Amino acid sequence: MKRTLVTLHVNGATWEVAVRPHDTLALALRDGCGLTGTKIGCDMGTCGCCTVLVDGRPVLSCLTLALEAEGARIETIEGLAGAERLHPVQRAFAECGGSQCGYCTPGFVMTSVALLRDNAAPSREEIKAAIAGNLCRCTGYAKIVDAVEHAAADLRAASTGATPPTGGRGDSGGDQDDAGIHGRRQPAAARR
Amino acid sequence: MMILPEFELLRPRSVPEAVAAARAARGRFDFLGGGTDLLCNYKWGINVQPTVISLRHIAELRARTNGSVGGGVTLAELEGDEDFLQDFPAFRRTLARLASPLIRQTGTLAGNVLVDTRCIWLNQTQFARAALGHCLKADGPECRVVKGSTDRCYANYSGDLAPVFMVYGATVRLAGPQGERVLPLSAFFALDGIRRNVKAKDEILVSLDLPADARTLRASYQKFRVREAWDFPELAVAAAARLDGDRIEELHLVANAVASIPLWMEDLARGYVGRTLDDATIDAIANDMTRAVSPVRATLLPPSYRKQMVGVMTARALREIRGDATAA
Ligand SMILES: Cc1cc2nc3c(=O)[nH]c(=O)nc-3n(C[C@H](O)[C@H](O)[C@H](O)COP(=O)(O)OP(=O)(O)OC[C@H]3O[C@@H](n4cnc5c(N)ncnc54)[C@H](O)[C@@H]3O)c2cc1C
Ligand code: SF4
Ligand code: FES
Ligand code: FES
Repeated sequence: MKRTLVTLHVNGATWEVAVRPHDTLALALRDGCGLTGTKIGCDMGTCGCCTVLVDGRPVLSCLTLALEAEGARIETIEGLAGAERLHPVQRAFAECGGSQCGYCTPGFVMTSVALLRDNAAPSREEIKAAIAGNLCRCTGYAKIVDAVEHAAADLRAASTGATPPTGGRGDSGGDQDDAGIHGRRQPAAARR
Repeated sequence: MMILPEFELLRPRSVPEAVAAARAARGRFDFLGGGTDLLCNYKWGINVQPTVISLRHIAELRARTNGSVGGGVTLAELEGDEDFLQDFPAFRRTLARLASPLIRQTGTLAGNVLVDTRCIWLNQTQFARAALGHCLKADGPECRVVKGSTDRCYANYSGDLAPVFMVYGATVRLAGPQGERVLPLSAFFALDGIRRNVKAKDEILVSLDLPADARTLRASYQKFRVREAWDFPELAVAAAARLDGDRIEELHLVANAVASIPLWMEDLARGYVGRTLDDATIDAIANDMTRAVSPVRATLLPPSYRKQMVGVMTARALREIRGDATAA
């Protein structure tokens, strides 16, 4: 089927990806941009593994068409960490045992990042409500809730003292496995 | 991985453009809202069309004003609209228990009202359906739930918002090749799991509009589901009443997710106008509601259990409306 070149703004970098109308954003990110941090679990909207931020909102990339994300600001797990250190939410997941096999983790982290941008001090109940669309088969959730609570505290502390860690690192394209979608990262001048 | 089948994607910018695109596709298309229902069905290979017309780029469908909600408004936007929730409080808990927060980010109002009917036979992969044998709703000659039925599908209506809009007295605004029309939402659904409603294929659901006096109704939606984190209703009851002290001045009831459409129980409800909303009346209405529904085995739980639970949920809804603190 005919492919269309779509421009995706991912983690501060601009990508041109050749997609078919029925390609999902999850596929375009993984196969087109080589950003395989976004996982595909159920591929049916039930597990939240594929969560990315689209214009700041947590969105299921398995149920979003790549063409529909054209022009939007997309953030994936690869865009969170700085060159030297993890984003506070990632660090809290590692330190609190919020990640075991890790397959669900990128989705939980992205959902949590969106929550903490809206609500700097969520209660445990608010955290549970926010992550209700993310499933984890390993941790039993308690440590994930702990991690989000810790991350919230770290971010609050950072915002009152030291410079808060920010996202925005454009990820290297990585190896492109050829599953049918082709992507090319635009030169720096073309980036937004 | 669940690969989507091939289709052409059109992205009109206005309602007339979308209507024209639909007309040109001659019935072989689907509209796309948030895609959280349609794309799942496509991944299962259910009734896939060659053209998909996305309605996500039409500003008119995103409008929200004073009791009128555009079909393209997302469930998350509605959930965050404090004015709307204060005017129509029954939506607060309904939205919070609808699907998951992630699905609510993209799922739209129109997509929710028009969500396809569900069935344990149907909502499976193409592979599983081929092995089990196809059914009337997709690729087969007869219904598997009600054996021998070759002209009616009994799949379950599972949208959570329509029943609440119905008991609040909403109207639905449709736009099609013949222009616009408005009809009561209570007259919108048509009993059959395939046809589901009276909307023509090329009509767009523009908005749902709530009347001003709906703000003085007391309403409740009681949903029963298997999982608490996210799940479709196994059954639900919506109720709204206007009370004068404890006397019922107006009563509206919908039994949801026990048939292929939300069941509008207007005659049953009218019989209780003028009565006192005491325990005896609540029990009588609950019993009548139980008797009035006949669910079939299209969902996970046994139909006899779902039928009984309609009474329980009716009583809970009415107790909440009466102001009992214990209503779940
Ligand atoms: C895991 C999971 C759990 C869910 N749980 C629930 C639940 O608890 N309760 C519930 O009610 N739903 C649930 N859903 C179903 C669905 O996600 C929601 O109903 C959602 O609101 C559908 O909206 P949408 O915009 O994504 O619909 P879409 O998938 O875009 O569309 C659904 C249907 O509506 C049509 N349509 C959409 N917009 C228009 C329009 N403006 N005019 C004409 N036709 C239109 C489409 O052609 C399609 O037939 C769930 C889905 C999933 C995947
Ligand atoms: S109710 Fe019957 S026709 Fe309808 S989806 Fe189920 S098996 Fe198919
Ligand atoms: S992979 Fe998208 S929700 Fe499971
Ligand atoms: S850590 Fe294994 S699924 Fe969550």
